[in-house]
Amino acid sequence: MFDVEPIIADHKDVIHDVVFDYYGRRMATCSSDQTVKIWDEDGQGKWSVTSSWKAHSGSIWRVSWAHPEFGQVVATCSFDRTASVWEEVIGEKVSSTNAPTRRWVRRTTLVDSRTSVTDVEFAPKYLGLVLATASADGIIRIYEAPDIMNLSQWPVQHEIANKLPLSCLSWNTSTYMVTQLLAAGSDESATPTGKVFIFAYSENARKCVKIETVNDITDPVTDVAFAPNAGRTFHMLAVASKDLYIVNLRGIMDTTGNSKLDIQTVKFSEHNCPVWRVCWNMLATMLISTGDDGCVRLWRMNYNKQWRCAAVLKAEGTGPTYEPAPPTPTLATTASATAKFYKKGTIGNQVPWH
Amino acid sequence: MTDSNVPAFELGDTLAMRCGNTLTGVFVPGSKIALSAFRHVKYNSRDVPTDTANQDPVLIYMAHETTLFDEPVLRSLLAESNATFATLQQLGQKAARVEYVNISRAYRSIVRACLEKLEHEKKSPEVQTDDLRLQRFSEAMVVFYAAECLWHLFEILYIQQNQLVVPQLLEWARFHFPQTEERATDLLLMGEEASESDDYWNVLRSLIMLGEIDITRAILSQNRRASQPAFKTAELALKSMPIYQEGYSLQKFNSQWEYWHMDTERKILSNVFATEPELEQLVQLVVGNNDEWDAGIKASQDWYQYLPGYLLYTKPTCKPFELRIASTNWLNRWSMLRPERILNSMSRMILQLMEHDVRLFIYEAQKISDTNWFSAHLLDLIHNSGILKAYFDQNNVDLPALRHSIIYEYGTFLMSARNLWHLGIDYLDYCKQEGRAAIELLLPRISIRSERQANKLINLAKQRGLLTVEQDICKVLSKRAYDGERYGNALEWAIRSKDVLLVTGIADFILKTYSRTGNMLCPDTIANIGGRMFISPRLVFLSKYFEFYEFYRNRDFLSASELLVNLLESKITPEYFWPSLLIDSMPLLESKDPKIFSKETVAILHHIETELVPIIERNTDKFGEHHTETVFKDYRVENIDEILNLMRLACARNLARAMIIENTMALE
Repeated sequence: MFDVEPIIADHKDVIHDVVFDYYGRRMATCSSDQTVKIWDEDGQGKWSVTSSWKAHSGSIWRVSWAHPEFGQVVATCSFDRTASVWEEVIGEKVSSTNAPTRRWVRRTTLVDSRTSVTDVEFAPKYLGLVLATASADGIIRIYEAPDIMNLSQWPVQHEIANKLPLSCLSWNTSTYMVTQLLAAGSDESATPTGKVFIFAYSENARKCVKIETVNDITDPVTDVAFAPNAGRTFHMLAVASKDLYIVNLRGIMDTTGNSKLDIQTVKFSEHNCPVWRVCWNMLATMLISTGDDGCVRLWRMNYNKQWRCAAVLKAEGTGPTYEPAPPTPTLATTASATAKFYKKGTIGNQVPWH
Repeated sequence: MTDSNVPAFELGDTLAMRCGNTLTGVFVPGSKIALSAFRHVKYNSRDVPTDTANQDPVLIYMAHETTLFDEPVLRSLLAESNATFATLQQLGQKAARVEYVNISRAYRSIVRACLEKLEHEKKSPEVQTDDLRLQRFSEAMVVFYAAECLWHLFEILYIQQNQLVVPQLLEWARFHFPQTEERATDLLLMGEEASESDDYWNVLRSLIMLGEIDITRAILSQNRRASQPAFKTAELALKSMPIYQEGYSLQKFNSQWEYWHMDTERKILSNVFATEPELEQLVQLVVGNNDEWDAGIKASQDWYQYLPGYLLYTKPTCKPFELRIASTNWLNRWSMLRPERILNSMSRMILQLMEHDVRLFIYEAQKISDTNWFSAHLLDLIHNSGILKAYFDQNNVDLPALRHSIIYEYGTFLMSARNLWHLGIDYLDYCKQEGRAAIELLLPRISIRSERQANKLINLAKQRGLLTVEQDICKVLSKRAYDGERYGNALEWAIRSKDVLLVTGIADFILKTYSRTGNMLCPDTIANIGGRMFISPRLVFLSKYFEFYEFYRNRDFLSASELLVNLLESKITPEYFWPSLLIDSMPLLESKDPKIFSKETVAILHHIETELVPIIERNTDKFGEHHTETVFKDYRVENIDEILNLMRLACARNLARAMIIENTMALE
């Protein structure tokens, strides 16, 4: 059962990305209306917009928050072929009693791409303040701010060209066995080849190179997401494609002592239609997938390390209502009688041990 | 798994229901999900406003999975059970059985205390007027009442390991069906009048079926007709009923029991109670008359209500393993008489316990909507006390793994809930590497609201040897202070984080600010750096330069000169600071009585030529001859060439003075 609190986003068009900061206390949204909004949660759990600005001259696809040790920094990427880095600064104090105003200033515009920049994501912080962009021309660019006290300089560190246009990318935050793993996906639909690519830093070549292609996934890919690693000995990548995929990547040493990846792909067809987006929770014990069927699916890993769909959240319905209490109350159903949502069961413990 | 098994929830968002749109969701760090309408757009489509632009409101929904623990009253339950959990971990697996029984009781008393509090607060006007809270209270009471009842039964059957179960089961049944006892108290207080009460005989029958023989006798003795033979015979029969106690010879008891049974039945047959049919019913129940008990079943609230009583009169020496058959038989009988009743999950779980189907019981326990409070704590107790070990082995249940997974789940639930994280960490501590990894991921994400809280988080990280977490928190606080222009604080946290880059960055900022404005930021912090300066060469420079600055301010020019000369020679001077450092030397060089020896003066001159001049040349290259911009950020500089000349001049003059004095002294 869920308590649902609607927030009026005040965007003029559909939102493309909703991203939370490290603590879940701030939210950044971006939309086809070319604006970015920053939201803050107050002590009572109410969200309000604290900044809103026109950030690009095209639809804004994605937002990414930098780790808070770099300050309050977000990056955006847009159809207008650019990506930008924004930092929140304290404005002039209006008066001594009021809290100083805060505003977001553009620190840089990354104009290297000649096509739409489809995704942007800050790298895990062990790499420093590093940013990767994916663009429709198939190039991944990795930028780095060498001076964390001055975010106006973002030289390109690596450029990796791919044959297919790219729609999404994701950094792996875990360094178990393999470091600097980066995955990207392509939503190109004409060629029947693998659509998910894995990159890593090569000590020999001294640059980032493509090390694998996930050949099991040949349908267009619209989102990829590496799972946070809470003590696992392998890496998990969720892929949104014609179906939902979870790709397990295991770093192994081959006979010559070189490390390579062992790839295993698991497919979930419950949506019965394309999947657009994927998102992990903090410990990667749950996964959200967005299908074209008007449903969000919540997946949960059971004790057996198997993924099971635990709940479906549907767009349809007449809005939050009460469901009459079931006629023969059992422990579980009596306890769940207060749902604000229309519901057919309860979430939680859906995949018990047995 | 088919779709029908998966719970579905409906949101009803207009925009998300539009053709071509769908619904998307992301996890919010913590325990929420943010939902919003979504439209997939391909990179090569035209970037135009969607057809729904400016029509439907764009909404974001914060969906929060509700738990009972949103209610503050229940927080104390979590805190207290956390303490008991910790005690149990201390005991480990080697303690005496009685210790585990005590732990079990401690858990139950926490639940009972909590139920009382719920009961009490539910009556308060704040709750009574708030439908949602009222509902939540009822829900919590249902859940925790069940938890207590099941735990109690589990304790009797498995933890205490009694040879006999009937006395404890009676106590259990009475506790969970208290209405009869309450009514009995009323009747006792009414004295003689009681016999006129409408429910007089109903209460007495119920008392007998709950095995409350003494109370029944007390009430009967107050009856107006108590002196009549029927009552006297009944009293005698009830009084003389043999009660088995542990240690008795079973054989002896059985013969006594047989004798008493035959005697009482003979009395019934001899029509002693013919004048008092209700009284006769009581005695019939006591001798186990099936018709009377069937009538009792029909009046019972749940299947297990009168089972312990029935056992008291028909199988008083029932052993735990015999309970299995007895309870199955009893339930069959109950279901025949009450076909309309469907067992709810609590009744089912009670049956599972009595039938020794612990495996199924544990499975069902996880469905209780208490976010695993019950199953986590009970399983942990089972695991630590070592009970049922053979059972789990036989049934292929990997108990340690099961306990681990449930405690992990419970711990992560607490740790991701905003106000409960400090309770969760203790559970994750007992989840091996997985728990540690979870703490490492979750602890730094707890939003830091105050320095006190930050120190608490850092201590927790320290205790667990999570160095990176500790450093992360320090770095975040340093950056936060820096952005808030609290530079001393920023430097302090940076030093605590031991991050060289960050420390250097902030030291650079302080030095640059000084050379630009002549204003030394956060002098108190710098003065107190002490031995910690060796984290970064830049910080060493800053500390030393500050020392010079203090000497100079206090007009201790000799010490200042000495330190300055050392700094010039140190090779840790950042390039941007050369101008400031050299300009600092000017007043000392110009001093009437020389502070700097000739050799050092030559060195300064050398630095001017090798450090400063190249900088000026680069500056000229970069900005051209007639530059307004300059790499010289020193607040004292207006014209570079002029200052360069002044410096050379000052060196020359000091050199002259110093040489005269040095050589004169040598002559003397």
